[in-house]
Amino acid sequence: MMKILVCLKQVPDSESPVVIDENTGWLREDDLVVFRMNRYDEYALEEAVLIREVRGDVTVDVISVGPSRVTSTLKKGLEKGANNGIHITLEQQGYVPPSLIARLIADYAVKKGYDLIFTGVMAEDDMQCQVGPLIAARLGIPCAASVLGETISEDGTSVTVECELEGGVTETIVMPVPSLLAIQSGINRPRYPSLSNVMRAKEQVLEVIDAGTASAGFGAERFVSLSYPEITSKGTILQGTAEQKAEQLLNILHEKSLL
Amino acid sequence: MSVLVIIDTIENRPSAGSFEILTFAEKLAAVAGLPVRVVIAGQEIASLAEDAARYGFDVTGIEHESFRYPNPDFTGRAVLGLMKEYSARYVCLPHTMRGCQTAAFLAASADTHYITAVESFAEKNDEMSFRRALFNGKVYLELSPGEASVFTVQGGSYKAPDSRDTPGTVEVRALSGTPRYRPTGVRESEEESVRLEESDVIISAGRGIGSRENLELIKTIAKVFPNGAVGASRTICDQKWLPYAHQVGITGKTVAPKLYMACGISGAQQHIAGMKGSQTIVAINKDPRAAIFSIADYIIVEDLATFLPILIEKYAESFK
Repeated sequence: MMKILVCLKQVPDSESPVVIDENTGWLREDDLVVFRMNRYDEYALEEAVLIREVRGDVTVDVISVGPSRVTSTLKKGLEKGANNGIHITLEQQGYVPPSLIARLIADYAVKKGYDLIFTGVMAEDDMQCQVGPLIAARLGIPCAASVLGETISEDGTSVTVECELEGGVTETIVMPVPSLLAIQSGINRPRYPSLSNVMRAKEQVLEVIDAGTASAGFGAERFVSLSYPEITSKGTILQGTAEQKAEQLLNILHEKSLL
Repeated sequence: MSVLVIIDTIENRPSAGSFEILTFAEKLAAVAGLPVRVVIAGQEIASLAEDAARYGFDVTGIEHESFRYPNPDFTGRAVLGLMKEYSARYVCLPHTMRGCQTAAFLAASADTHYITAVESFAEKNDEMSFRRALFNGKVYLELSPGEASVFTVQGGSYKAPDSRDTPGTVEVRALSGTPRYRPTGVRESEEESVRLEESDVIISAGRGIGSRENLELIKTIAKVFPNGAVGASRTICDQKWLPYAHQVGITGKTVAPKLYMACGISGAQQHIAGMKGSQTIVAINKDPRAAIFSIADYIIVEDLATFLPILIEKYAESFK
Protein backbone atom coordinates (compact mmCIF):
# COMPACT_ATOMS: atom_id res chain seq x y z
CA MET A 1 0.00 0.00 0.00
CA MET A 2 1.16 3.50 -0.76
CA LYS A 3 0.90 6.30 1.77
CA ILE A 4 0.83 9.96 0.78
CA LEU A 5 0.96 12.87 3.21
CA VAL A 6 -0.33 16.23 1.95
CA CYS A 7 0.64 19.34 3.95
CA LEU A 8 -2.05 22.00 4.06
CA LYS A 9 -1.67 25.61 5.10
CA GLN A 10 -4.58 27.79 6.06
CA VAL A 11 -4.23 31.31 4.67
CA PRO A 12 -6.37 34.45 4.72
CA ASP A 13 -8.45 34.76 1.57
CA SER A 14 -6.81 37.12 -0.92
CA GLU A 15 -9.90 39.37 -0.82
CA SER A 16 -9.66 39.76 2.97
CA PRO A 17 -8.34 43.09 4.31
CA VAL A 18 -4.66 43.05 5.24
CA VAL A 19 -4.42 45.31 8.29
CA ILE A 20 -1.60 45.61 10.79
CA ASP A 21 -2.87 45.45 14.38
CA GLU A 22 -1.26 48.31 16.27
CA ASN A 23 -1.38 46.43 19.57
CA THR A 24 0.29 43.22 18.47
CA GLY A 25 2.33 44.52 15.52
CA TRP A 26 1.08 41.50 13.58
CA LEU A 27 -1.86 41.13 11.20
CA ARG A 28 -5.33 41.73 12.53
CA GLU A 29 -7.52 38.64 12.69
CA ASP A 30 -11.13 39.69 13.01
CA ASP A 31 -14.47 38.74 11.49
CA LEU A 32 -13.54 40.40 8.21
CA VAL A 33 -10.65 38.00 7.66
CA VAL A 34 -11.82 34.79 6.01
CA PHE A 35 -9.44 31.83 6.21
CA ARG A 36 -9.27 29.06 3.62
CA MET A 37 -6.94 26.44 2.17
CA ASN A 38 -3.83 27.71 0.37
CA ARG A 39 -4.62 27.25 -3.33
CA TYR A 40 -1.26 25.63 -4.12
CA ASP A 41 -2.07 23.01 -1.46
CA GLU A 42 -5.43 22.35 -3.14
CA TYR A 43 -3.50 21.28 -6.25
CA ALA A 44 -1.23 19.09 -4.10
CA LEU A 45 -4.22 17.39 -2.46
CA GLU A 46 -6.00 16.88 -5.78
CA GLU A 47 -2.87 15.29 -7.24
CA ALA A 48 -2.70 12.83 -4.32
CA VAL A 49 -6.39 11.95 -4.69
CA LEU A 50 -5.90 11.43 -8.45
CA ILE A 51 -3.03 9.03 -7.71
CA ARG A 52 -5.32 7.07 -5.37
CA GLU A 53 -8.01 6.92 -8.05
CA VAL A 54 -5.53 5.44 -10.53
CA ARG A 55 -3.62 3.07 -8.23
CA GLY A 56 -6.38 2.17 -5.81
CA ASP A 57 -4.33 1.00 -2.87
CA VAL A 58 -3.32 4.44 -1.61
CA THR A 59 -4.01 6.32 1.62
CA VAL A 60 -4.03 10.11 1.53
CA ASP A 61 -3.48 11.92 4.85
CA VAL A 62 -3.70 15.69 5.25
CA ILE A 63 -1.78 17.53 7.96
CA SER A 64 -1.84 21.14 9.12
CA VAL A 65 -0.11 23.10 11.87
CA GLY A 66 -1.86 26.00 13.58
CA PRO A 67 -4.53 27.17 16.02
CA SER A 68 -8.03 25.67 16.26
CA ARG A 69 -9.23 27.55 13.15
CA VAL A 70 -7.14 25.28 10.88
CA THR A 71 -9.55 22.39 11.59
CA SER A 72 -11.86 23.92 8.96
CA THR A 73 -9.10 23.57 6.36
CA LEU A 74 -8.40 19.97 7.43
CA LYS A 75 -12.13 19.20 7.19
CA LYS A 76 -12.12 20.74 3.72
CA GLY A 77 -9.24 18.38 2.91
CA LEU A 78 -11.38 15.43 3.97
CA GLU A 79 -14.29 16.78 1.92
CA LYS A 80 -12.01 16.91 -1.10
CA GLY A 81 -11.12 13.27 -0.65
CA ALA A 82 -8.36 12.80 1.96
CA ASN A 83 -8.69 9.68 4.10
CA ASN A 84 -7.38 11.08 7.40
CA GLY A 85 -6.67 14.49 8.91
CA ILE A 86 -3.94 15.37 11.40
CA HIS A 87 -3.98 18.63 13.32
CA ILE A 88 -0.81 19.74 15.07
CA THR A 89 -2.10 22.42 17.41
CA LEU A 90 0.11 25.46 17.73
CA GLU A 91 -1.48 28.47 19.36
CA GLN A 92 1.52 30.75 18.76
CA GLN A 93 0.40 34.18 17.56
CA GLY A 94 2.24 36.44 15.14
CA TYR A 95 5.18 35.36 13.01
CA VAL A 96 5.64 31.59 12.97
CA PRO A 97 8.97 30.56 11.42
CA PRO A 98 8.55 28.16 8.48
CA SER A 99 11.40 26.12 9.99
CA LEU A 100 9.21 25.42 13.03
CA ILE A 101 6.28 24.24 10.88
CA ALA A 102 8.67 22.05 8.88
CA ARG A 103 10.16 20.53 12.03
CA LEU A 104 6.75 19.71 13.51
CA ILE A 105 5.58 18.03 10.30
CA ALA A 106 8.88 16.18 9.82
CA ASP A 107 8.77 14.95 13.44
CA TYR A 108 5.27 13.61 12.83
CA ALA A 109 6.10 12.02 9.48
CA VAL A 110 9.45 10.48 10.36
CA LYS A 111 8.11 7.17 11.70
CA LYS A 112 4.95 6.92 9.63
CA GLY A 113 6.51 5.48 6.50
CA TYR A 114 5.05 7.85 3.94
CA ASP A 115 6.05 7.01 0.38
CA LEU A 116 5.38 10.51 -0.90
CA ILE A 117 4.93 13.85 0.83
CA PHE A 118 3.19 16.62 -1.11
CA THR A 119 3.16 20.32 -0.37
CA GLY A 120 2.06 23.28 -2.42
CA VAL A 121 5.05 24.98 -4.05
CA MET A 122 4.47 28.01 -1.82
CA ALA A 123 1.85 29.69 0.34
CA GLU A 124 -0.21 32.48 -1.18
CA ASP A 125 0.23 34.78 1.81
CA ASP A 126 3.97 34.80 2.52
CA MET A 127 5.34 32.95 -0.55
CA GLN A 128 8.27 31.66 1.45
CA CYS A 129 8.74 28.42 -0.59
CA GLN A 130 10.37 26.97 2.52
CA VAL A 131 8.29 24.35 4.28
CA GLY A 132 8.40 21.66 1.58
CA PRO A 133 12.17 21.61 1.00
CA LEU A 134 12.82 22.02 4.75
CA ILE A 135 10.69 18.95 5.57
CA ALA A 136 12.58 16.98 2.92
CA ALA A 137 15.94 18.09 4.29
CA ARG A 138 14.91 17.21 7.86
CA LEU A 139 13.74 13.76 6.77
CA GLY A 140 16.79 13.26 4.57
CA ILE A 141 14.70 12.57 1.49
CA PRO A 142 15.04 14.23 -1.94
CA CYS A 143 12.70 16.99 -2.99
CA ALA A 144 11.39 18.20 -6.35
CA ALA A 145 9.96 21.72 -6.48
CA SER A 146 7.43 23.26 -8.84
CA VAL A 147 6.10 19.91 -10.02
CA LEU A 148 3.86 20.06 -13.10
CA GLY A 149 3.25 16.33 -13.42
CA GLU A 150 4.36 12.99 -12.02
CA THR A 151 4.27 9.30 -12.93
CA ILE A 152 4.86 6.66 -10.29
CA SER A 153 6.53 3.46 -11.47
CA GLU A 154 4.30 0.39 -11.34
CA ASP A 155 6.30 -1.16 -8.50
CA GLY A 156 6.12 2.11 -6.59
CA THR A 157 9.86 2.49 -6.10
CA SER A 158 10.46 5.56 -8.23
CA VAL A 159 8.60 8.60 -9.48
CA THR A 160 9.31 10.53 -12.67
CA VAL A 161 8.44 14.20 -12.25
CA GLU A 162 8.11 17.16 -14.60
CA CYS A 163 9.44 20.27 -12.88
CA GLU A 164 9.20 23.86 -13.97
CA LEU A 165 12.39 25.83 -14.31
CA GLU A 166 12.34 29.53 -15.15
CA GLY A 167 11.16 31.01 -18.46
CA GLY A 168 8.79 28.28 -19.61
CA VAL A 169 11.46 25.54 -19.46
CA THR A 170 10.62 22.27 -17.75
CA GLU A 171 12.89 19.41 -16.71
CA THR A 172 12.29 15.72 -16.14
CA ILE A 173 13.69 14.14 -12.97
CA VAL A 174 13.68 10.53 -11.86
CA MET A 175 13.31 10.48 -8.08
CA PRO A 176 13.44 7.60 -5.62
CA VAL A 177 10.58 6.81 -3.24
CA PRO A 178 10.25 8.22 -0.61
CA SER A 179 10.50 11.78 -1.92
CA LEU A 180 8.83 15.10 -1.35
CA LEU A 181 7.07 16.87 -4.23
CA ALA A 182 6.22 20.58 -4.01
CA ILE A 183 3.31 20.89 -6.41
CA GLN A 184 2.91 23.88 -8.74
CA SER A 185 -0.50 25.38 -9.50
CA GLY A 186 -2.16 24.44 -12.78
CA ILE A 187 -1.15 20.74 -12.57
CA ASN A 188 -4.81 19.66 -12.33
CA ARG A 189 -8.27 21.02 -11.64
CA PRO A 190 -9.01 20.73 -7.92
CA ARG A 191 -12.44 19.16 -7.44
CA TYR A 192 -15.36 20.38 -5.43
CA PRO A 193 -16.23 18.22 -2.43
CA SER A 194 -18.67 15.40 -3.14
CA LEU A 195 -21.77 15.15 -0.97
CA SER A 196 -20.71 11.77 0.41
CA ASN A 197 -17.30 13.14 1.40
CA VAL A 198 -18.92 16.18 3.02
CA MET A 199 -21.09 13.86 5.13
CA ARG A 200 -18.09 11.68 5.99
CA ALA A 201 -15.94 14.69 6.95
CA LYS A 202 -18.65 15.87 9.36
CA GLU A 203 -18.41 12.67 11.34
CA GLN A 204 -14.70 12.04 11.06
CA VAL A 205 -12.46 12.83 14.02
CA LEU A 206 -9.13 14.49 13.36
CA GLU A 207 -5.96 13.19 14.96
CA VAL A 208 -4.81 15.97 17.27
CA ILE A 209 -1.22 16.45 18.38
CA ASP A 210 -0.29 19.25 20.72
CA ALA A 211 2.87 21.04 19.64
CA GLY A 212 2.88 22.69 23.06
CA THR A 213 5.60 25.25 23.36
CA ALA A 214 7.61 23.85 20.48
CA SER A 215 10.34 26.01 19.06
CA ALA A 216 12.25 25.70 15.83
CA GLY A 217 15.01 24.02 17.79
CA PHE A 218 17.82 26.40 17.06
CA GLY A 219 16.19 29.74 17.75
CA ALA A 220 14.55 30.96 14.61
CA GLU A 221 15.00 34.27 12.89
CA ARG A 222 13.49 37.03 14.97
CA PHE A 223 10.43 39.02 13.96
CA VAL A 224 11.29 42.72 13.77
CA SER A 225 8.26 44.45 12.29
CA LEU A 226 5.46 44.59 9.78
CA SER A 227 4.92 47.77 7.82
CA TYR A 228 2.99 49.10 4.86
CA PRO A 229 5.08 49.78 1.78
CA GLU A 230 6.14 53.36 1.22
CA ILE A 231 4.12 55.07 -1.46
CA THR A 232 6.94 55.44 -3.93
CA SER A 233 4.81 55.86 -7.00
CA LYS A 234 5.81 58.76 -9.20
CA GLY A 235 2.93 57.83 -11.42
CA THR A 236 0.21 60.19 -12.64
CA ILE A 237 -3.24 59.30 -11.36
CA LEU A 238 -5.77 59.91 -14.11
CA GLN A 239 -8.82 61.77 -12.73
CA GLY A 240 -12.44 62.22 -13.77
CA THR A 241 -15.10 59.89 -15.12
CA ALA A 242 -14.21 56.61 -16.80
CA GLU A 243 -14.83 58.31 -20.18
CA GLN A 244 -12.46 61.15 -19.32
CA LYS A 245 -9.80 58.74 -18.11
CA ALA A 246 -10.09 56.75 -21.34
CA GLU A 247 -9.70 59.94 -23.42
CA GLN A 248 -6.70 61.06 -21.36
CA LEU A 249 -5.05 57.67 -21.73
CA LEU A 250 -5.53 57.66 -25.52
CA ASN A 251 -4.07 61.17 -25.73
CA ILE A 252 -1.04 60.18 -23.65
CA LEU A 253 -0.41 57.11 -25.83
CA HIS A 254 -0.82 59.23 -28.95
CA GLU A 255 1.65 61.86 -27.70
CA LYS A 256 4.15 59.10 -26.99
CA SER A 257 3.67 57.91 -30.60
CA LEU A 258 2.42 54.58 -29.35
CA LEU A 259 -0.89 55.04 -31.15
CA MET B 1 34.42 34.04 7.90
CA SER B 2 32.84 34.93 4.59
CA VAL B 3 29.74 35.64 2.57
CA LEU B 4 29.10 32.89 0.02
CA VAL B 5 27.14 33.36 -3.20
CA ILE B 6 25.83 30.20 -4.87
CA ILE B 7 25.08 30.25 -8.60
CA ASP B 8 23.78 27.25 -10.50
CA THR B 9 23.57 26.76 -14.24
CA ILE B 10 21.52 25.15 -16.98
CA GLU B 11 23.81 23.75 -19.68
CA ASN B 12 26.57 25.96 -18.26
CA ARG B 13 24.53 29.16 -18.47
CA PRO B 14 23.68 30.96 -15.22
CA SER B 15 19.98 31.48 -14.58
CA ALA B 16 18.71 35.01 -15.24
CA GLY B 17 19.66 37.56 -12.60
CA SER B 18 22.37 35.40 -10.98
CA PHE B 19 24.91 38.21 -10.94
CA GLU B 20 22.44 40.61 -9.29
CA ILE B 21 22.91 38.84 -6.00
CA LEU B 22 26.62 39.66 -6.11
CA THR B 23 25.61 43.24 -5.33
CA PHE B 24 23.45 42.11 -2.42
CA ALA B 25 26.31 39.95 -1.14
CA GLU B 26 28.82 42.76 -1.57
CA LYS B 27 26.70 45.21 0.45
CA LEU B 28 26.10 42.60 3.13
CA ALA B 29 29.81 41.75 3.26
CA ALA B 30 30.69 45.43 3.59
CA VAL B 31 28.44 45.81 6.65
CA ALA B 32 29.65 42.56 8.21
CA GLY B 33 33.30 43.24 7.31
CA LEU B 34 33.69 39.94 5.46
CA PRO B 35 34.97 38.86 2.04
CA VAL B 36 32.63 37.53 -0.68
CA ARG B 37 33.27 34.21 -2.35
CA VAL B 38 31.30 32.97 -5.35
CA VAL B 39 30.54 29.29 -5.89
CA ILE B 40 29.34 28.20 -9.34
CA ALA B 41 28.00 24.72 -10.00
CA GLY B 42 27.94 23.41 -13.56
CA GLN B 43 29.15 20.84 -16.01
CA GLU B 44 31.99 22.81 -17.63
CA ILE B 45 32.15 26.25 -16.17
CA ALA B 46 35.74 27.46 -16.40
CA SER B 47 34.81 30.36 -18.69
CA LEU B 48 31.73 31.31 -16.65
CA ALA B 49 33.91 31.27 -13.52
CA GLU B 50 36.33 33.70 -15.27
CA ASP B 51 33.32 35.88 -16.13
CA ALA B 52 32.19 35.97 -12.52
CA ALA B 53 35.72 36.76 -11.31
CA ARG B 54 35.66 39.95 -13.41
CA TYR B 55 33.51 41.47 -10.68
CA GLY B 56 36.50 41.21 -8.37
CA PHE B 57 35.43 38.26 -6.23
CA ASP B 58 37.23 34.96 -5.71
CA VAL B 59 35.39 32.16 -7.48
CA THR B 60 35.23 28.46 -6.76
CA GLY B 61 33.77 26.39 -9.58
CA ILE B 62 32.42 22.93 -8.87
CA GLU B 63 32.04 20.67 -11.89
CA HIS B 64 30.16 17.40 -12.24
CA GLU B 65 28.52 15.86 -15.28
CA SER B 66 25.19 15.80 -13.42
CA PHE B 67 25.31 19.60 -13.09
CA ARG B 68 24.32 19.91 -16.76
CA TYR B 69 20.89 20.67 -15.29
CA PRO B 70 20.36 22.17 -11.84
CA ASN B 71 20.46 19.56 -9.09
CA PRO B 72 19.65 21.39 -5.85
CA ASP B 73 20.13 18.29 -3.73
CA PHE B 74 23.60 17.53 -5.11
CA THR B 75 24.54 21.22 -5.15
CA GLY B 76 23.44 21.53 -1.54
CA ARG B 77 25.58 18.61 -0.42
CA ALA B 78 28.63 20.01 -2.21
CA VAL B 79 28.09 23.52 -0.86
CA LEU B 80 27.66 22.25 2.70
CA GLY B 81 31.32 21.24 2.64
CA LEU B 82 32.34 24.59 1.16
CA MET B 83 30.38 26.43 3.88
CA LYS B 84 32.64 24.80 6.45
CA GLU B 85 35.79 25.30 4.37
CA TYR B 86 35.14 29.03 3.93
CA SER B 87 33.50 29.52 7.37
CA ALA B 88 30.44 30.99 5.70
CA ARG B 89 28.40 33.27 7.91
CA TYR B 90 25.93 34.24 5.22
CA VAL B 91 24.97 32.26 2.13
CA CYS B 92 23.10 34.01 -0.69
CA LEU B 93 21.19 32.39 -3.54
CA PRO B 94 18.81 33.69 -6.21
CA HIS B 95 15.13 33.36 -5.29
CA THR B 96 14.32 30.76 -7.90
CA MET B 97 12.70 27.37 -7.31
CA ARG B 98 16.13 25.74 -7.51
CA GLY B 99 17.72 28.40 -5.31
CA CYS B 100 15.05 27.96 -2.64
CA GLN B 101 15.55 24.21 -2.66
CA THR B 102 19.31 24.38 -2.27
CA ALA B 103 18.93 27.09 0.37
CA ALA B 104 16.45 25.04 2.41
CA PHE B 105 18.77 22.05 2.31
CA LEU B 106 21.70 24.19 3.51
CA ALA B 107 19.69 25.90 6.26
CA ALA B 108 18.26 22.63 7.59
CA SER B 109 21.58 20.78 7.38
CA ALA B 110 23.76 23.53 8.84
CA ASP B 111 21.12 24.62 11.38
CA THR B 112 21.16 28.24 10.27
CA HIS B 113 18.31 30.68 9.86
CA TYR B 114 16.71 31.04 6.48
CA ILE B 115 14.93 34.02 4.91
CA THR B 116 13.56 33.86 1.37
CA ALA B 117 12.75 36.50 -1.26
CA VAL B 118 14.77 39.24 0.45
CA GLU B 119 14.40 42.60 -1.29
CA SER B 120 16.65 44.74 0.90
CA PHE B 121 18.31 44.92 4.28
CA ALA B 122 19.32 47.57 6.79
CA GLU B 123 21.36 47.81 9.94
CA LYS B 124 19.41 49.30 12.85
CA ASN B 125 20.68 49.45 16.44
CA ASP B 126 23.49 47.02 15.65
CA GLU B 127 20.98 44.55 14.30
CA MET B 128 20.62 43.45 10.69
CA SER B 129 17.06 43.47 9.47
CA PHE B 130 15.99 41.86 6.19
CA ARG B 131 12.91 42.96 4.31
CA ARG B 132 10.51 40.83 2.25
CA ALA B 133 6.98 41.25 0.91
CA LEU B 134 3.85 39.54 2.23
CA PHE B 135 0.45 39.40 0.51
CA ASN B 136 1.81 40.44 -2.88
CA GLY B 137 3.43 43.54 -1.45
CA LYS B 138 0.47 44.81 0.61
CA VAL B 139 2.68 44.66 3.70
CA TYR B 140 6.39 44.14 4.32
CA LEU B 141 7.94 41.84 6.90
CA GLU B 142 11.30 42.53 8.53
CA LEU B 143 13.22 39.69 10.09
CA SER B 144 16.48 39.57 11.95
CA PRO B 145 18.63 36.47 11.50
CA GLY B 146 21.05 35.27 14.11
CA GLU B 147 24.75 34.62 13.75
CA ALA B 148 24.48 32.66 10.51
CA SER B 149 21.86 32.70 7.82
CA VAL B 150 20.91 31.59 4.35
CA PHE B 151 19.09 34.04 2.08
CA THR B 152 17.36 33.88 -1.26
CA VAL B 153 17.28 37.26 -2.98
CA GLN B 154 14.25 38.38 -4.97
CA GLY B 155 15.01 38.94 -8.65
CA GLY B 156 15.09 42.57 -9.72
CA SER B 157 15.98 43.86 -6.23
CA TYR B 158 19.60 44.61 -7.12
CA LYS B 159 21.55 45.43 -10.27
CA ALA B 160 24.59 43.39 -11.29
CA PRO B 161 27.83 45.12 -10.19
CA ASP B 162 30.30 46.80 -12.55
CA SER B 163 33.36 44.79 -13.46
CA ARG B 164 36.63 45.60 -11.63
CA ASP B 165 40.15 46.28 -12.86
CA THR B 166 41.52 43.47 -10.73
CA PRO B 167 39.65 40.21 -11.18
CA GLY B 168 39.28 37.67 -8.40
CA THR B 169 40.99 34.29 -8.34
CA VAL B 170 39.42 31.26 -10.00
CA GLU B 171 39.64 27.69 -8.85
CA VAL B 172 37.68 24.93 -10.57
CA ARG B 173 37.26 21.59 -8.85
CA ALA B 174 35.95 18.32 -10.20
CA LEU B 175 33.34 16.90 -7.88
CA SER B 176 33.07 13.17 -7.20
CA GLY B 177 30.07 11.28 -5.93
CA THR B 178 26.68 10.32 -7.30
CA PRO B 179 23.54 12.43 -7.01
CA ARG B 180 20.48 10.91 -5.33
CA TYR B 181 18.35 11.76 -8.32
CA ARG B 182 18.96 12.76 -11.88
CA PRO B 183 17.40 15.34 -14.12
CA THR B 184 17.19 13.54 -17.47
CA GLY B 185 16.44 16.45 -19.76
CA VAL B 186 14.84 19.84 -20.30
CA ARG B 187 12.08 20.91 -22.63
CA GLU B 188 11.05 24.35 -23.88
CA SER B 189 7.43 25.41 -23.84
CA GLU B 190 5.80 24.41 -27.14
CA GLU B 191 4.19 27.75 -27.72
CA GLU B 192 7.23 29.75 -28.62
CA SER B 193 5.19 31.41 -31.38
CA VAL B 194 4.23 33.97 -28.72
CA ARG B 195 7.24 36.27 -28.90
CA LEU B 196 6.47 38.47 -25.93
CA GLU B 197 10.09 39.61 -25.65
CA GLU B 198 9.99 41.06 -29.16
CA SER B 199 6.71 42.96 -28.81
CA ASP B 200 6.65 46.76 -28.59
CA VAL B 201 3.39 46.80 -26.66
CA ILE B 202 2.11 44.24 -24.17
CA ILE B 203 -1.44 44.35 -22.84
CA SER B 204 -1.44 42.08 -19.81
CA ALA B 205 -4.34 40.49 -17.97
CA GLY B 206 -4.50 39.55 -14.29
CA ARG B 207 -7.03 38.07 -11.91
CA GLY B 208 -8.90 41.38 -11.86
CA ILE B 209 -10.30 40.88 -15.37
CA GLY B 210 -12.93 38.77 -13.62
CA SER B 211 -14.07 36.43 -16.35
CA ARG B 212 -12.59 34.60 -19.29
CA GLU B 213 -14.88 36.51 -21.66
CA ASN B 214 -13.13 39.75 -20.71
CA LEU B 215 -9.92 38.39 -22.26
CA GLU B 216 -11.50 39.31 -25.60
CA LEU B 217 -11.32 42.97 -24.52
CA ILE B 218 -7.61 42.56 -23.77
CA LYS B 219 -7.04 40.92 -27.16
CA THR B 220 -8.98 43.68 -28.93
CA ILE B 221 -6.82 46.35 -27.32
CA ALA B 222 -3.59 44.48 -28.10
CA LYS B 223 -4.59 44.37 -31.78
CA VAL B 224 -4.90 48.16 -31.88
CA PHE B 225 -1.11 48.47 -31.60
CA PRO B 226 1.35 47.53 -34.30
CA ASN B 227 3.45 44.70 -32.82
CA GLY B 228 1.17 44.39 -29.78
CA ALA B 229 0.86 41.18 -27.78
CA VAL B 230 -1.20 39.77 -24.93
CA GLY B 231 0.59 39.05 -21.64
CA ALA B 232 -0.76 37.53 -18.46
CA SER B 233 -0.13 36.95 -14.79
CA ARG B 234 0.46 33.45 -13.52
CA THR B 235 -3.14 33.11 -12.26
CA ILE B 236 -4.56 33.54 -15.75
CA CYS B 237 -2.30 30.80 -17.13
CA ASP B 238 -3.01 28.48 -14.20
CA GLN B 239 -6.72 28.77 -14.96
CA LYS B 240 -5.86 27.77 -18.55
CA TRP B 241 -7.35 30.99 -19.87
CA LEU B 242 -4.08 31.54 -21.76
CA PRO B 243 -1.07 29.27 -22.41
CA TYR B 244 2.01 29.72 -20.19
CA ALA B 245 3.91 31.25 -23.11
CA HIS B 246 1.97 34.46 -22.30
CA GLN B 247 3.07 34.56 -18.68
CA VAL B 248 5.18 37.52 -17.55
CA GLY B 249 7.21 37.25 -14.36
CA ILE B 250 9.95 35.27 -12.69
CA THR B 251 8.60 31.88 -13.72
CA GLY B 252 7.58 33.30 -17.09
CA LYS B 253 9.06 35.86 -19.47
CA THR B 254 11.07 38.95 -18.59
CA VAL B 255 9.97 41.77 -20.89
CA ALA B 256 10.77 45.46 -21.44
CA PRO B 257 8.39 46.76 -24.12
CA LYS B 258 7.75 50.43 -25.02
CA LEU B 259 4.31 50.13 -23.40
CA TYR B 260 3.15 47.67 -20.75
CA MET B 261 -0.52 47.93 -19.83
CA ALA B 262 -1.30 45.93 -16.68
CA CYS B 263 -5.04 45.20 -16.53
CA GLY B 264 -6.31 43.83 -13.23
CA ILE B 265 -2.83 42.79 -12.12
CA SER B 266 -2.27 43.15 -8.37
CA GLY B 267 1.49 43.52 -8.71
CA ALA B 268 3.07 40.50 -7.02
CA GLN B 269 6.86 40.82 -6.87
CA GLN B 270 7.07 37.76 -9.11
CA HIS B 271 5.21 39.64 -11.81
CA ILE B 272 6.83 43.04 -11.30
CA ALA B 273 10.32 41.56 -11.57
CA GLY B 274 9.42 40.42 -15.09
CA MET B 275 8.17 43.75 -16.47
CA LYS B 276 9.46 46.67 -14.46
CA GLY B 277 12.00 47.53 -17.14
CA SER B 278 9.16 48.56 -19.49
CA GLN B 279 9.48 52.13 -20.86
CA THR B 280 5.92 53.21 -20.05
CA ILE B 281 3.70 51.34 -17.60
CA VAL B 282 -0.05 51.92 -17.48
CA ALA B 283 -1.87 50.13 -14.64
CA ILE B 284 -5.63 49.70 -14.44
CA ASN B 285 -7.05 48.20 -11.24
CA LYS B 286 -10.15 48.82 -9.16
CA ASP B 287 -8.16 48.46 -5.90
CA PRO B 288 -6.49 51.84 -5.23
CA ARG B 289 -3.94 50.05 -3.00
CA ALA B 290 -2.82 47.60 -5.68
CA ALA B 291 0.97 47.15 -5.52
CA ILE B 292 1.25 47.51 -9.30
CA PHE B 293 0.51 51.24 -8.93
CA SER B 294 3.85 51.72 -7.14
CA ILE B 295 5.72 51.19 -10.41
CA ALA B 296 3.12 52.57 -12.85
CA ASP B 297 3.64 55.78 -14.81
CA TYR B 298 -0.11 56.18 -15.33
CA ILE B 299 -2.62 55.00 -12.76
CA ILE B 300 -6.26 54.33 -13.54
CA VAL B 301 -8.52 53.22 -10.69
CA GLU B 302 -11.43 51.63 -12.52
CA ASP B 303 -13.19 48.30 -12.90
CA LEU B 304 -11.90 46.70 -16.10
CA ALA B 305 -15.21 45.22 -17.16
CA THR B 306 -16.61 48.73 -17.54
CA PHE B 307 -13.44 50.67 -18.38
CA LEU B 308 -12.04 48.56 -21.22
CA PRO B 309 -15.20 48.75 -23.39
CA ILE B 310 -15.19 52.54 -22.91
CA LEU B 311 -11.52 52.68 -23.91
CA ILE B 312 -12.21 50.64 -27.04
CA GLU B 313 -15.19 52.84 -27.93
CA LYS B 314 -13.24 56.07 -27.41
CA TYR B 315 -10.43 54.71 -29.55
CA ALA B 316 -12.88 53.89 -32.34
CA GLU B 317 -14.31 57.41 -32.15
CA SER B 318 -11.00 59.25 -32.23
CA PHE B 319 -8.51 57.14 -34.14
CA LYS B 320 -10.34 55.23 -36.79
